[in-house]
Amino acid sequence: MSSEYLTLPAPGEMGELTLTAAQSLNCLIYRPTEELRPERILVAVHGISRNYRSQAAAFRSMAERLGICLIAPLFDSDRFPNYQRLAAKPGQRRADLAFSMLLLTWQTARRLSELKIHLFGYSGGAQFAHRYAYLYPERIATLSACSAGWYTLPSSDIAYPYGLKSWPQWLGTPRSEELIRLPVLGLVGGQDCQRDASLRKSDRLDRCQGYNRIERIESWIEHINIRRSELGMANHALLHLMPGLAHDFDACAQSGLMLPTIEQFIQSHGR
Amino acid sequence: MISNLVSDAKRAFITRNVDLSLAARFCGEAPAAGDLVVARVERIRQHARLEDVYGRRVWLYTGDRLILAAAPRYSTAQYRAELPTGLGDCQLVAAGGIAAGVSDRNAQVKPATDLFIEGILADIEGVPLNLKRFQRLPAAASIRGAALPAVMVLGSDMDAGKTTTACAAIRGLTNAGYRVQGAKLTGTGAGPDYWRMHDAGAVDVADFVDAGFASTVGTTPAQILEILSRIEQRALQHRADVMVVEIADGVLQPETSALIASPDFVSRFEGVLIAGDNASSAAYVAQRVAMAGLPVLAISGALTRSPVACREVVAATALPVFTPDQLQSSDVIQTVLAPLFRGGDVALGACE
Repeated sequence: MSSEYLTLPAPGEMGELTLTAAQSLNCLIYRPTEELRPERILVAVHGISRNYRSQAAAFRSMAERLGICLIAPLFDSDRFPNYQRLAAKPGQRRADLAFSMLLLTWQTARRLSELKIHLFGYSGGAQFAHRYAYLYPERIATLSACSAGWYTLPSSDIAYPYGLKSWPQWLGTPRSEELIRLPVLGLVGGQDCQRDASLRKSDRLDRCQGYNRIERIESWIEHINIRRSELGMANHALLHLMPGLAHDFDACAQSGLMLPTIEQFIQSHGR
Repeated sequence: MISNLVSDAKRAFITRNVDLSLAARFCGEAPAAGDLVVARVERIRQHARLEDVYGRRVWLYTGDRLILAAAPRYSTAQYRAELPTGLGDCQLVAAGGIAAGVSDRNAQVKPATDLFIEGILADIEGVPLNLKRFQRLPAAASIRGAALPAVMVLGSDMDAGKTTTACAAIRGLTNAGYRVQGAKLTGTGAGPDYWRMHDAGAVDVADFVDAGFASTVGTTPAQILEILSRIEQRALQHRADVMVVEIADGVLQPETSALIASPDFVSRFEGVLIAGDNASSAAYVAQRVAMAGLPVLAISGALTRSPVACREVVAATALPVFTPDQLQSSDVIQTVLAPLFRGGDVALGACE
């Protein structure tokens, strides 16, 4: 179903869309041949290479099998230079706001009483995804974060941006306890242990979260699971190490180690 | 003598731009919208006071003579009122100084204060003194396209906190060093919103009265767009950096509904601040704004008195909610209104 303010591609096709209501956010949309759950969307968020086309191509067949639409947004570097952090300083456009308007327009145009997303992000996209989930946990059906360089840990003892202490007022209010309860899957390549140029490095971050992406995702998942245990939750956030893979989205997508794991996670946990 | 009658009368806020020294006689039998009338107070009921041109609310007494403007009014919280069809009986339907005939009344307010229109003020030539003759705004520029960034403040209804939200934005922007033009683009001529924008720090405030309208009931989007263009010219004269533009009433009010359905009007704004009186109404307004193709930049308003209501809105819309106090923070308002200020984004480095 399309409307005058949201034109969807035909079933079985990929289309590109720019929504003025979403601050002209551009995105690729794949619409499955048979849409089984209109109230769910699979969202794939790119890393700092902004390879949203690769993301859309990789997740297309998964969306088809799940029978849900796929959205791969492009947070362009001019307007959303620090989309990973939603916004990195006061006065920057908030990437979360543009993305939320995309979802609200989608929900309104399609007359959906509820809309939740299966949110995946790779690298910088994983940073966006987990921080988006802090602010809007009700929008999240499942959260899959792959190979982020660092995280905002769900700890009020660690200062922002590495933890929640003194989270800036201009960025809204994080809802850590709700995020903790979400189905969470962390993924990282088994060889993604290089301290490459794009990896954020500081003594404080190294001490707080570890030296590379593997140690840092382990830290994030551990923090979530400690809190889950305190809350008496039986299920734990999952961590999936992908043997032999380094920091390369296309390699991860083609490996057969990342996408089937995410699909199985969604099918198992997607409410 | 008309001059004695005028000088002894209590003059309403809405007549603030009129040169009353031109009043020389009465004329006509039926006022047009915006015509100044002299009306006698017959019975005081809902409005016991009248806003004067300085913003003071002067007390009314039976037998007082008032200088008002004839005009229709639309208000879900008070009255729906029509333009008087002639001299004689009518009501005071707004404290800013509107004389009209009440057709509908909210049950929570008293019947309107009764008036008797004694005459329509005219100059020595017999031409009525109409607000259209005393416009403070410059002519609209012929250039097309936006010269100044503008944010619209839109509400779910009357008393949703629109002016509070607009003034918080003005204050926050002022705190951040911006020069702000405040504007009340539609509604019924009234002082409180006007003065409050001044008090919040706006370098200038203008409204539809400055374009010769006592109220905007029955106006077209094209007329409102022209008023906006003229306010923008005034903002440029005052070297304003940004306009904060409040739209009256709620999104279901006919003229407001027509405005947000107008692509020409909508394209004039970079985004919307929503003022909601409760969570569900705010979510509804957000949907209407999305359908209009406009970005919602934040939600605020009366609902923010309740943290639970704030949670409900965030859950329903995934949009940020800020209290008016938070919007006064320069960091918060600059982030909320970041889409207005293109070119302000600076990357902090290309690390993940």
